[in-house]
Amino acid sequence: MYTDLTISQQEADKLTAISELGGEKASEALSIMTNQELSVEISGTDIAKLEEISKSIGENDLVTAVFLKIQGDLNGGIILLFPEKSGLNMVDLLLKNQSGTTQKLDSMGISALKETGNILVGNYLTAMSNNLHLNVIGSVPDLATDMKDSIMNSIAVELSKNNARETMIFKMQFQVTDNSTSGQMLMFFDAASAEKMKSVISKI
Amino acid sequence: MEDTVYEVGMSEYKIAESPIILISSGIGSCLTIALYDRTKKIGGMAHAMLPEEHPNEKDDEDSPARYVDKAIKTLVSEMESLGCNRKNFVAKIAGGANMFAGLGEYSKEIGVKNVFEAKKILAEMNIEIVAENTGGTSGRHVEFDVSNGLLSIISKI
Repeated sequence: MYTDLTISQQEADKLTAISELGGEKASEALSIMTNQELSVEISGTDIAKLEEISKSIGENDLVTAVFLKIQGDLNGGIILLFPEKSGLNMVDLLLKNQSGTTQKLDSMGISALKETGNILVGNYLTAMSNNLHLNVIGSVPDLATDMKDSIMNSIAVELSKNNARETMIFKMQFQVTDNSTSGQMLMFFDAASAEKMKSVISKI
Repeated sequence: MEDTVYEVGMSEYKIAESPIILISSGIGSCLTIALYDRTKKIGGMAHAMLPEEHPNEKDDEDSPARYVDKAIKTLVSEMESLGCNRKNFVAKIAGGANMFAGLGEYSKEIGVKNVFEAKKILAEMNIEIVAENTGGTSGRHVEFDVSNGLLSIISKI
């Protein structure tokens, strides 16, 4: 059954605050992994039509994406998006290579980026689980490098389960302070998950 | 003279006469279906997301080509209302990739199901598929030149 996804401004603010706590944990973990200072920007809670999710996040350039499904008490997905060059720079940071060493994603680089996904998403979801008293885990990460729109439209299809038309989105942008590497983390939740979160936050 | 370009977004369709170029970017597991009437030089293209319309679906005017089955039927009837005859139609389809190997049961097969559904509906309507570029694991950018029916596909290598 298709249900409309609606949240009030007050609910959105509370959810944004909870997402921010997760985002802070995730960015701390990334900072430790890369041994770099990060600037992080966490945006508010959005509701978007599945057809629109790709339009809000930049040009249709080549990106490297790490995707994990959210499972347990909440359903959805988390995607880490790196502009192609940033993805390669991130591999150098993670493997402690000199910047510019990685010119192509090999199996080592793919593992490193997937592990980054595991750690960021793990930290984000653990914070969310603790704050909402819900059990939420991430799936095994999946990686693809392709046109941003093709990737996001495939994610939209994954999110269209149960005839969903819309999704609730949290966004986080991060940039390594030397400007070599930037990326985004997008968290998507379905209508049933939004209802569960609303029910929990109404008691907070 | 620069050609006029129309963008066909996800769950949308457009019908145009020569010399328009219809573009759909960001095809992943979605499917683009291009129909062309060579005699009239009228073409239509849909960018469909899912194979079949759910029986209890509520109408959504913003997403007229969300489903492959409905998108093809809409393209055919609207092109016929412009004076085309489906006997003169040829079809080209592109898309239906599986971008993430580890996605669950639900979306893993969507690309394949989209292609299957398009072939089924086009066969029922006796419209020949003259070219197909489907499947694989890469996204596609599709351009359909309505002046000559040429469908170009850009993929990353």
